[in-house]
Formats: sequence, C-alpha cells, structure tokens
Amino acid sequence: MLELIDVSVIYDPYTKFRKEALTNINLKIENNEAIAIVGQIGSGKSTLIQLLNGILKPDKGRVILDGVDINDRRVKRKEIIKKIGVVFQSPEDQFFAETVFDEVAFGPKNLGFSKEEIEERVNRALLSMGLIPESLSSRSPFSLSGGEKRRVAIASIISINPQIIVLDEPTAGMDFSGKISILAHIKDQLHKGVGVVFITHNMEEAIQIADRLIVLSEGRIVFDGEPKAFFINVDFVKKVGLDIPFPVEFRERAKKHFPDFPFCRDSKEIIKYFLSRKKQ
Amino acid sequence: MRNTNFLGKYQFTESFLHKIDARVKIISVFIVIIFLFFFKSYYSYLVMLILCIFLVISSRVKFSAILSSFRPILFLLFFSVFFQTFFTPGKEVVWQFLFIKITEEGLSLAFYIALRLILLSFFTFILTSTTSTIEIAEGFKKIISPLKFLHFPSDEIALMVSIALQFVPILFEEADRIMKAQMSRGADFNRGSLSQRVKSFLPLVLPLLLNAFNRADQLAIAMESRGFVVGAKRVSYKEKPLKFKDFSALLFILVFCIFLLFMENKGWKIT
Repeated sequence: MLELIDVSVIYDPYTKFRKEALTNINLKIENNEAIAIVGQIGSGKSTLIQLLNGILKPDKGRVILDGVDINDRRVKRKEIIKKIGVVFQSPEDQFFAETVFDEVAFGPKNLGFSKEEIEERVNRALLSMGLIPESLSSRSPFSLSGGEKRRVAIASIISINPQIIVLDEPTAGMDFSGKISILAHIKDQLHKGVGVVFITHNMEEAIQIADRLIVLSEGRIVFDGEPKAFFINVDFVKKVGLDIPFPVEFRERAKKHFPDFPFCRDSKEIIKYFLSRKKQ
Repeated sequence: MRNTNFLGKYQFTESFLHKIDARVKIISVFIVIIFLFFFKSYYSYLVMLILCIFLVISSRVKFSAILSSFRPILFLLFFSVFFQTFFTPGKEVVWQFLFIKITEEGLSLAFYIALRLILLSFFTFILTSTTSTIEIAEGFKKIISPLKFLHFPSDEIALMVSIALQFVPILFEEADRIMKAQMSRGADFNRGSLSQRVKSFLPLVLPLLLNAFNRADQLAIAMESRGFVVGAKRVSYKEKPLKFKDFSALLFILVFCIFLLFMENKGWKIT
C-alpha cells in the first residue's frame, strides 16, 4: 500500500517562476486498484506520479510504501523501484540499447537478477504487452513502429515485476489500434493483480479502465472516488475543465426518454439494459 | 535539476541593472574580466568584491541563488588552487615533505587565481541573473554586427549562439526527464568504479543525443518552412537604441577599473 501524507511540491522557489505544483496531497493507493488521474495541463499530475517512486522528493510531507518512508535516507531506491514501476510520458525517448531484449532487460539487470531470471522476465514482459519475443528480441528498438515502441517501453517496466505500475499518458500520440492494444494490455495487468495508476486526458479511457478516479485541479485533489460519482455532476466536471465522456453524455440524453437509464461503461451494459427493459 | 540554480539563473526584478542594455552589460563584464587579470593589489580585489555585492543588492536578485550557482565551479576552483599551491616553483619554501613543496610564490599565486576566478564568476552570474538568455543573444548579435563589413557571417554566428543558448535549458530538462526515466528502471549514476560510472551514463547520453539530433532536424524544417534563408538580411521587430544610462554605466565601469589600476600604481597611498 502506498500512502501520501500532506505532500506539497514547490518548483523554483526563489524565482519568479515559483510554482506550487502540489499542495497538501493526501492519498492512499492499495495494491490492486485501478486508478485514473485526470486534470487539466499544469494541474500537477506528472509531478504527483514522480513522487510515487521517490524520483522526486516532496518539499513537505511524507510518502509511505508498506509502512516505510521512501524518502528516508536509509531506504534503498532499488527496493522501491522493485515495487513501484513508473512509465513516463513518451517513454520511447529513453531507448538506448542495441536490441529490444537489452532494452527490456535494463531494469532487471540493474536490480541484479540472474541471467535466467532476466531472460524469463523479459520474455514474460514482452508477451504481456502482446509482443512476440522470438521475432522482436534481437531487433533494434529504433526500428520498431510507434505502437510497438510504446509497448516495448511499457514492457521494460513490467519486466521489473512491480506491485503497482504507474503510467503517464500511456496512449498519448498513438493511433486508434495502438490505443486499443495498449489499453487491453494494461487491463491484463490488472487481472494479474498488479495495481495500475495512470494519467489520461481521455475520459472514456478513464471510465473504461479505472475503478477509482482522482481529479487534480491547480495542485489539489478535488475529487477522489468512483468515476460514476464524478461524472454524474456534469457542472462540476466542466468547472474543473474536463471533457464530458461520451457514455455520460449518452446517459444524460437517454435519461430524457428512459429516466432509469443506468451509468454504463460500455455498449454491453447498454444492450443489457435494453434487453432487460424488453422483458418487462 | 529543476530546483538548482545553474550558473546564475535569470531572475526577474524591476531593477536598474535589469533595464540596462544587454550589450552594455556584456561589454562591461568583458572589461571587468580583463582588468581582473591586471590587478595586483588585494585592495583592488576587495573593492571589486564590494562592487559585486553592491550590484547584487541593487539588482534585488536573491543572494542565496547567486551563492548556490557557485557550486558547479567549486571543483574548478579547488583544482586550480591545489595545482598552483603544490606545483609552483619558488625560492621561499614554507613547508616541505619529501618531494612535496609549498612555496610562498605558489601560495600567493593560488590566492590570486582563487580571487580572480571567484570575482570573474561573480560578475558573470550577475550578468546572467539580470539578463535573460534572449537578451544576451540579441546583445551578442549587436556586438559582433560591425564585423559584417569584413564579410564575417555575424548574423549566422549570432543565430547559432542564440539557438544554442535557448537549447541549453531544453536539453537540461530533457536530461532530467531521461535521467528520471532510467532511474525508474534502476539505473544508478553515482556509484561504482570510474569505468562503471562512464558506462552508466550511456543510457542517459545516448537518448539525449538522439533526441537532440531529432530536435535540430525539426527546427531546421520549421525554420525553412517559415522562409528562413541563410545569408539574407535580417531586421528586428524592436530596435532598442542605447540610452544615456547605458552609456553612463559603461563609462562608469571603465573609469572605475582604470581608477583602480591607477591607484595600484600609486601604491594605494591616498594623499
């Protein structure tokens, strides 16, 4: 379990660019939750996820992982990285290795696993992102397509086997099929019991995957709970500057004709509703 | 890296020093640096230090920020002081242990070097913290523009300098981003033997270079698609002529330095 207690982050405190990126954040993340973090640009989303694995130290407050303060000097960073995997924005920018195998093996190698274990982890990670290890392993990561690059980059974190995987806009700049495949593989991770925390600008994605929604606005958490409860209050959603997702808009319109129309995450639930209506 | 003040980060205040033309500030720093190497008396250095402190106070720049930008040059400072102390031959031996000798000449040379380095960087930090990179680039361009008569490609050189200057913070941000990403994969940049450390920088340097080349390509395309032609005549949107205060500031620095040198020659005897 990851816990943020009264955390604040201030950038460039001595200049005119001084900016309080996060203010008094209190947050608890369980190990197998699916959390979407949404908010406008500059609301502190990326700053928040950097706090989660100790890459960024908070100016105030504490970050506690399984009862240990991760910013304590005695705590080894590698122990935290083993538990919390963070995939940054456009992670394919970090590629440096000659082959996809080396790229994905970078994490486990750094954490000091044996050769067999590394190989097993790399293959498993590639497979879990829908990539075939036999055909990809020896290729250069720079020769891949955009979608494949993104998936290799995510696999390079999955190979560490973290309890919670944190992703900063995993589908940004991807085409439709790329998005679908990345989201599907992220969902797979959830089924395997890995916690997923992800930032997104696409509200449909947030509704589809997340059980819990965290809304940031100007460095503060303005909402933390079920996505349904947030999007039902359409005025508040607009006030925070977010997009009304299609399922919510659909529901708003459908309610005029069918007052008991439920909050549906996908078409299956809508069909189920209409089928049950027919029976009555 | 976002929280560190790298070599006198620009701080905006409404001070006299901020309003002076960048050309004047660059030339003044240049003059001061030249004179710093002519001074021989400790009094002159003391006066220069007082001038520095006065300038910082009058520009209302945070003193702590300037002090913290000294951190990167500490190593250089230590290094040069160390070498001057131990490797200057001289007659007056102060301390000797086997073949290691510390001479009086060495000590005084080391002290001078330290003073000069500190003052030199102090003035430069005042320049960079009161002048934005764009202003510095513009000023530099204006300074070298007379060379055009000698068929020197001053516009192009100035453009290169200004692009380079503007890329510095971007590259730092990028390096920071990649470093964080690699650290999230367990990379460790400060541990192990020297060869291990050099190797550990590969995952940082390679993507950084690659992204920089990509960025340069994109910039070239963007500039060409907006009609950039090498060697064409360029004008600027805002022409800022030098004002009275600019000339007087320049004159002040020049007279100030010459006065100090003059006083040194007279042996600092105020009669």
